[in-house]
Amino acid sequence: MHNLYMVIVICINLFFVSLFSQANYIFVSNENSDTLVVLDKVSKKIIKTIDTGGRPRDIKFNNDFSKLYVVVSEENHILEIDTKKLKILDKIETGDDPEIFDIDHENKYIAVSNEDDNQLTIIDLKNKKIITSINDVGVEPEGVNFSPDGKFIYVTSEGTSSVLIIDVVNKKIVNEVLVGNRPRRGLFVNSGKEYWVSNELSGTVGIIDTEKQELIKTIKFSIKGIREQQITPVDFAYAKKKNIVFVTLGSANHVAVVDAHTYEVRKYILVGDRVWGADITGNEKELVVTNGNSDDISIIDLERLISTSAIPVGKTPHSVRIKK
Amino acid sequence: MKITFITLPLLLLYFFSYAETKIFKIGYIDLKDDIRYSDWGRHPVDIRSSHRNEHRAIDGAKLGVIDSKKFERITKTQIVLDHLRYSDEKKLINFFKSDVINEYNAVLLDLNLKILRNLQSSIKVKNQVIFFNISNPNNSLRTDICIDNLYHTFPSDMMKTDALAQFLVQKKWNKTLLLTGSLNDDKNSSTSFKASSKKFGVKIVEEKNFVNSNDPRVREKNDLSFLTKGRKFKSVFISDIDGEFALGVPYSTMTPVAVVGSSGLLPKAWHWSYMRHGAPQVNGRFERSFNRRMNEKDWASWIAIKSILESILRTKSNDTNIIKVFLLSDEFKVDGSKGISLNYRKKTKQLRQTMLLVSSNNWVAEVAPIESFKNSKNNLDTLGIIQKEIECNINNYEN
Repeated sequence: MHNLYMVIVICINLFFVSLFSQANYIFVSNENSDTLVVLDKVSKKIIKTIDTGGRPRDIKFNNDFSKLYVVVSEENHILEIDTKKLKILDKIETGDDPEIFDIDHENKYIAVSNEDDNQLTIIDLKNKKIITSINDVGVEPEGVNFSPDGKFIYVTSEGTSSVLIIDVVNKKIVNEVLVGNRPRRGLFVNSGKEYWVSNELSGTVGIIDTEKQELIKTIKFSIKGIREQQITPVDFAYAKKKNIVFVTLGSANHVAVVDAHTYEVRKYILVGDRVWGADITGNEKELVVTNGNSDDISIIDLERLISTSAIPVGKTPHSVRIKK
Repeated sequence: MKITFITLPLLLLYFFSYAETKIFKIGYIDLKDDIRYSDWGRHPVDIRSSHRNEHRAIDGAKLGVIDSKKFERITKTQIVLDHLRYSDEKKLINFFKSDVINEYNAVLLDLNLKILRNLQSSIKVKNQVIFFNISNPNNSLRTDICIDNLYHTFPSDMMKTDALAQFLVQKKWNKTLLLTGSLNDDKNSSTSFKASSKKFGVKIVEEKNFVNSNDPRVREKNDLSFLTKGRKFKSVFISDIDGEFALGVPYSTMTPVAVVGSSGLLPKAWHWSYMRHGAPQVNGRFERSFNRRMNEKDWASWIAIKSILESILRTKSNDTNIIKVFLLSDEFKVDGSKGISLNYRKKTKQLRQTMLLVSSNNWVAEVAPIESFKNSKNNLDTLGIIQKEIECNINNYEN
């Protein structure tokens, strides 16, 4: 009887342990090895490698983290992946050369930038069909973000140094805001009141007031011993509770830690070569960044603000997402 | 009375919308017969010249105009491009002296050295027009002209030879044999390489002139077994703008050495094979529009128009005087899809840029400035002629 009781306890324990571990994955897309690598969040060991096909880049979760979406640029589609079974479920056509995308908060739409055609394609996520493609979205559109209220899509256009604002209901461009040179990605900060843009070639982050739709502030980065031209901001991660934004600085091989309240740069953290993608754990204790030229990811301890380890993942890691 | 009430607002609306979009007129000037683009190459007997099918850079300018359409929402400026081709040098020179050229806000020059020299004084007088040299690498155009309104988007010979010298030093292949052809451009390129060698520490072990012929009586000048025997060297720099003789140098040297210059590894402002920094997107747009691959002169035309656009965008002005000042200011930054932001040197008005070192004409093997070469102000200044080396109006540049 006692033995049976023990077995039941162990079984229940195992069940919870397995549940718990399922919630702990880090996903990394490797642009040049055509794979999506899955790491255990705690041990940081690669537990699975999923073949994606040609040039996987941006990755996003749906709102309950049950599914992961990976854009496969050379095959013109987005893969839908089950985040428990770690299996590919479906493919969603996107139009030519998709790069960065976003999913709205209600999981109704996917909006994806088609860099070569200067388009933004909007896809119905339920029936996985393209609803429309919006033309003339600058030159080389890249970063795509739904505003938190779901009303607008903000798109950064690398070639025209601007952010285009698109009305979700009418699916039309309603405004265009001039920012710095080669804007790469964007991030809604302070409950959607601000939209931050990384200006890769200006070495700055521009801040757009989303109500006025105007540029209100530019944050300049400078790191001792590193040339201004090496500072090439790309991606963001946002610690909402602490209201801190992390900005990956590309060829400067550092991550900037920016107070989103005061706009003050608190620290620069040394990471790997050409740091691009970034994401943060749910408890805001760890930051993971992808280093495109050193083929690894850096793990950053956010209490101490230092990089604690680097893990090889594959060729040219592009994006990282941590299941929360 | 009623009519005026209706027509006046309509008229105002008309003028308002008309005033909304301004025209910025750009000319692209070339000569019908330019030896650089001649089917027969530079040598009268040459039929295999690699330059036989070199395209003029007008398509690069056209791509700049296509891209500029996307800026119109913000700039409210429409860029208009005219291709002005002259069959006669005198007519071209007269055009520069006439008032017609004042209609243009900017002019891209795809011209040879001789005619650029002839135009020098006219360019200086037409100081309301911004001129861009988009195809001529001659060092002296940067050093002893110093005209306020003449910019160079095409890299100088010095930038090109500096890039190669850095590469040879980094590889420790810096004991070099220098082979020079008979054309003035060949001599200029070799002179430039000698200056680069001095700057970065390449040891030129021997200098020889080659002749592109099969004549057995001059085999010490046309046979690579003779040209490349003797003293020990680890690389050959060949100056052969025409390119025909140069093609045969790799794999024909007496010892297995690297060949750079006009064949082997070539320094280019742009190449269709470059895969980083958004270059595939620019190449893709070009290839879809013009059905051929984008070359370095196309890039130089494209970046000239992009420089203008960037200035209109940031200054919110179409005034050429304002643009001229902005182009040289510290705020000016332009994205040439070569990685880092580019700007112009204040004295030479040369666009600072990285150089792509292209192997066998099909792959970018390296990008200069090479990592270990640093300049106290701007690493791009390890390539080309920098400010402190020249004074305007005084030709103190050696050779």
